[in-house]
Parts: sequence; C-alpha cells; structure tokens
Amino acid sequence: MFALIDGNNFYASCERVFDPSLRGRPLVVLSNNDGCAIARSAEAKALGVGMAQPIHEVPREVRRQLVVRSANFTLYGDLSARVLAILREAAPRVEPYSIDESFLDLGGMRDREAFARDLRERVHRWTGIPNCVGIGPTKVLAKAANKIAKRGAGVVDLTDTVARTTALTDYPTGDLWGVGSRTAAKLAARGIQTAAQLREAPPADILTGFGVTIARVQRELQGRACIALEEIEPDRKQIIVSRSFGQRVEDHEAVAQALATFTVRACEKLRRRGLVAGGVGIFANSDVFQPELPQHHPNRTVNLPRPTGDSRVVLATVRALLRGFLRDGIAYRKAGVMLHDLGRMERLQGDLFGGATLGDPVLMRVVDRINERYGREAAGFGATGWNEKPAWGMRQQTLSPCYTTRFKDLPAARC
Amino acid sequence: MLDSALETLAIPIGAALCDAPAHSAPIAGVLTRAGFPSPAEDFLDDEIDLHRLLVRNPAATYLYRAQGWSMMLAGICDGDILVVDRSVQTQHGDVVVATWDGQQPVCKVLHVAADHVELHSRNPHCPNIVLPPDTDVEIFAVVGVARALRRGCHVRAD
Repeated sequence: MFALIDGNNFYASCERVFDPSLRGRPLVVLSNNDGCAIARSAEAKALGVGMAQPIHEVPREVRRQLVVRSANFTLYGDLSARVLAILREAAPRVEPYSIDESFLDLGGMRDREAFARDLRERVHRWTGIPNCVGIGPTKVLAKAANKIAKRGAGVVDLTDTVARTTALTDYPTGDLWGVGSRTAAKLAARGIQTAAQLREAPPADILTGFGVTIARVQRELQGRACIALEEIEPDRKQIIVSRSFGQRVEDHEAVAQALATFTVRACEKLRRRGLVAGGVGIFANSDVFQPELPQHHPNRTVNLPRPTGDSRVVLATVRALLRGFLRDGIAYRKAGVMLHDLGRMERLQGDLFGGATLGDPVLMRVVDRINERYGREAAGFGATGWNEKPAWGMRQQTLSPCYTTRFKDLPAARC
Repeated sequence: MLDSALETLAIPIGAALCDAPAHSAPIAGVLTRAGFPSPAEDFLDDEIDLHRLLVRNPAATYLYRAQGWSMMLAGICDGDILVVDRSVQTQHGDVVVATWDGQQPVCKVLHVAADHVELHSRNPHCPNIVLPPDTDVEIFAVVGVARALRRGCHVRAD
C-alpha cells in the first residue's frame, strides 16, 4: 500500500512561509535566469499563467498583477529536507521522488486515512508547507489519488474498489503517472480517454501498441503493484552541472571560471555520494535564441588515467580540455561539466603502477568539512575566480533571502 | 581578461599538490596506541552542543531575528536570534511569534482571553496588541534566545 505526499505549489509555498505578505496574492516563481514560470500559486493559476510559460509571454495586464520571485533553490532544498525528515519519522519506508514529493509505504497500517490526515496536518504545521496525500495499492493509483486530493479533499484513498472505479471514470489518461501528452493523444485515437478505459482495455493491445511502460501503468491501475518503492537512490551514472549565463559572455577567461565553478560543484556532488569519476567532459553553447549571431557548440570528453574525486585533478583536466576549445568572437550563453564513468570508491582496484585513484581524498574531505561548517566556498579553488558577481552569473532580479541557511538572511520578528 | 576577474575574494592557502602524501595516519590515534591507554576513554562524553540544547525538533525549528526592545524584560534584546519551534503547542503566557493579515511576524507574550487573543509587550514603554476576535492568526512558540557577545557591539548576535 502506497501513499504519495507532495507540497502544493511547492516553490511558491516556500516563499510564502517567510514572507506573509505573499499570502493570498498571485505569486509566480521563475526558473534560473528568470525565464519561465516554474511554480504558480493558486491565484496565479486562476489568472491563466501556464506551467513553464515564459514570463515575457504572459499578457502585460496579467503580469502587472503578479508578484514574481527568482527561484531560490537553497531555500526550497532546505524546506524539502525538513519535510522528508518528518516523513521518515512517521513512516518506516520512504522514497523521496522529487524535491516536493515522496512515496511512503503504508503496508500493515490499520487506519491509513487517519494516519494521512495527521501527517498532512503535521507537515503543514511544522514546516508551513501545505500539502496533499493520495493513497492507493499501487504507485500509479497513489499518484492519481494525490492529484484528486488536490481538488480540495486534501487526502484521498483509492484503496476501496468502488471508490476507485468512480474516481478513474473521469480521470484523463494524460494525468496518469508515466503517460505523456503524446501517448495520451495516441491512446485517445484508439478511443481510450480515461484511466478507467485504459484499465479495461485488452492488455495484449496495450502491450503491442504502447510498449511495456504503458502496460505496466495498466496493471497498476488494476491494483497490481509493478513499481516498487526505491528507498535507496540508485548510483548515478553521470553528474552534470550546467547553467545558462545571465548574459552573453565572450571573454574566454570568464567562461573558464564558470566551468571551474561548475567543476567544483560537480566534484562536491560526486564526493557526497561516495563516488569517483573516470572521465570528464565539458561543453559550451552560444545563444541559440539569437540565430543571427555566429554559433558554436563545442564539447570535449576525456578519460582519466585513474578515477578521481579530487577537485584539483578534475580542474586541471578541464583546464587542459579548454585549450583551443572556445572561439574568438563567439558570445557564449551556457556551459557545463559532465563527470562520467562513476564508480564506488571502495570497489576500485589499483593497477600495476600505482594506487586505485588519483588525488588526495583526505584533503578533499577537509575542504568539504570546512565548507559544511563555515558555508559554501569558505574554502575553494582559485580557478573559479571567486567573484561575488561574475559576468556569467545568473540573472535573479527578485531573489528572496536564504531565510533558513544564512544568519544574515534570517527573517525578522518585530519586538 | 575582465577587470572583475581580478577582484577576487580568495585568500591563497598554499600550493596544490596532486599526489597524496606518502603515508597518512591520524596522529592522535598513533600516539594513544604507543603509550598507556587513556583511563578516561571509557568515560568520554560527547562535547556539549548548544544547538542540541536549543533545537529539539530540527525539522520544525526556524530562526528569526528580533527587531526592537518591547520584550526587553523577557530577556530579549534587539538583534537576538529567536529559536521558534513550530511543533510546540502554545499556551497562555508563552513567548511567541505571531503573524496575521500578511504582516511581518511579531514577538510578544501570548495572552489568551475569552473570545480573543492579546499580544503583550514586556517593556513599560511599549503597548500591548489586542487582536479583534476571529483574527486569522498563526502563533508559534519561541523556545530559545541566542546572542553572541562581541567587543564594541554588545548586543548584536550574528
């Protein structure tokens, strides 16, 4: 038995916890570089702002009524971790599925709905994040129940077969977990428009016509669990850190510093997962939205002689890859670093000529500890440039403070 | 090169070496094993952690910065860090932070009257706040106050 709990308009709700003046107002959170709407409060949805809609395409008279915020992932990440901590205390098995949703295993629980109501209330009271819970015998059904709960009930349980049939009868296939808009259109062409119709369709037709993924969705709709809870995130195959720049950047040194910054970030992620990388790649893109400008989209990859988790080794490799990588007169808009061939440190074997890895894991642990304790970039690497406002920095014109992670950003309480 | 690239915040800490040192072992560990084992070893406690004292429920605890002197006699100074635990049930007489009408939160002493709520100051020069009945107000308990003392700026905690 599964439950899916997720925060309502999560990013918008995070902003509202610490800025009460945003409550009740149409609030939109914008993606990196302030491009598109990635979260909308109920009021903003009512005004017709679409998901992922570029903000400059929102009609001017609507835009004038909106309050916008630049995405503050530091804040959202912290609140997400708090919600997860509460869930882990309440349920024995939890799978964090995304920043704002988690699956719980409710197997063996007697009064599931009371449990869900209590949990929902607790998450809201303790963190300030309003949320909904869907319950079902499979993940697909729990996800659908959650979507239905969003209409106002807060908690919906689709365990009961009669309730389930009623709920699925007017549930569009496109809203099902794992069914994209293209597949939904293909299904509709065969007369399958609702989840109930998909459930009753001949399984052989579904399997041959739509493949194993949709066949699995069908079985899950029938109440037979095919997708298990994944408590432990499978090891990553690669780590990519890339960003669009806030403006076009021609200066090669600035691009190099951006890549060095992404490299350091990628290596931190790598070490946090206890992994080492066997290869490094870099890429850069010019502004594809300005086709009249000269374009250049180079990428390069190299294998390391031995795997490493040492930022300095990767930085030196990236520096070497950069030789002759960029062209003069091209304005770059995006760059990124990829670490691939990832493996567990303890599973490596050394070769004939030296140890198993390159670099100094002890030094890296010290750097990571310093940064954990004294804040990100308390200790770092010169190659990143250490500018507070680098030329390639993101455009974040309406960024809220990091209320929960920086002393200078704590919210004020009037005395 | 950009001018801004030269304005760095970095403090160099020495040359980078890509090779690991020939051998490394925790010095403390080596020394202990060479001599007589410490008789205190079995009696070691964890170090005292102020965070654990003040933050009982980390998931539900937010920090706020006090602004103003109306709670002076409750021991809260301007600039103090208020530890707010949202999981604690508030009662009459508690120090709380309260928010209503989309306003910035206020730190006061909670006074529960028959049909309404009052927020009392702890400073004779500051008025109490009387909320009209049925005000939609969020109230959370302040479970701790933190302040670092610094030379020259004697009340600001940061």
